[in-house]
Amino acid sequence: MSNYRQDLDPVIEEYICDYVDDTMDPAIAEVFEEYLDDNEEVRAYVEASKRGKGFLQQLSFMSLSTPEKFGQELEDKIKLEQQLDRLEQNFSASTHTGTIVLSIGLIIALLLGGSAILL
Amino acid sequence: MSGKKATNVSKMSDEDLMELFQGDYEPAFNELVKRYQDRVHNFIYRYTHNHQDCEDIVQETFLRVYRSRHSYERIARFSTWLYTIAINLAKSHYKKKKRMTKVSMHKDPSDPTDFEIVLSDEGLTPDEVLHEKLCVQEVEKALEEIPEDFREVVILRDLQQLTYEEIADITDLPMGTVKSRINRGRSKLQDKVGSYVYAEH
Repeated sequence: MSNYRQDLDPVIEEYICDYVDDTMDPAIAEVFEEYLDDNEEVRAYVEASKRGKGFLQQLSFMSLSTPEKFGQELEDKIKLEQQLDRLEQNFSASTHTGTIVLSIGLIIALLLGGSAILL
Repeated sequence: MSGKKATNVSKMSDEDLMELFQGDYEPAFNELVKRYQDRVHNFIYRYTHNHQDCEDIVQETFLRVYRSRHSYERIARFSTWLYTIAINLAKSHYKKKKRMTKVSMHKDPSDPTDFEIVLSDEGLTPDEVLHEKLCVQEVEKALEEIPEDFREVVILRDLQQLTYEEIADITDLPMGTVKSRINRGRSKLQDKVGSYVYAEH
């Protein structure tokens, strides 16, 4: 059985990963191999994991690249976004100016109105 | 733009480039795009299996980097931050697509840009090249069939060659879970593809 179904101790899972990836300290690897000798089912799981990793390495031969137009398209999208940002800023600035003009107008009207009443 | 900056971008670390870009120095962004566009493309393709969708997501990933440059903090590696953006976009695309259709996403016949797998075939006979191609297709298919939780980590580890720490950061999982999922993912993949490959020998 290649696919170990039971829940393994998390520490063993970590050891397996380090062992398969060859990132394990050699002294620990030796002890771990002894453990595997006594646990056939776990060894099968380790072997399956190793083969799975091997298959995935085959995919590294398959290299995909972004098309040549990628950079230009990205630049165009960024430019468009910058233009939209500028438009938005201009719009909010003009709205802001409009609000100020309206407020001043209102204040003047109130002042004039108040003066007229007083007179 | 200073000449010093312009000549040095290719030698700078990703994080230094991001810092420059946060100061609105656009060549730094272009350098980051150059460094990562193919890697992100290869990564996203494993989710979409459609070149047009893949390109759209890669573009969107870099657009988000552009837009959100000020939210990047140097405490994280740039690559971790970039992959987190890419993986979130890929996942939401995958969910959307899954909701829309149940067709196989292995090879999209409607995708005019879907091209043949290119293998490095130095020293191989035509039969061996054909066999290799068939194997690669089987592995691609098996990779699609294993659950997403496992697929994600094996792609990040075995195809993108990221460290366990980076994968833990990107997926927001404890290190132990990352390692356990890598083991399970690899063994599930071997279960699916193994019988085919060994039957050939």
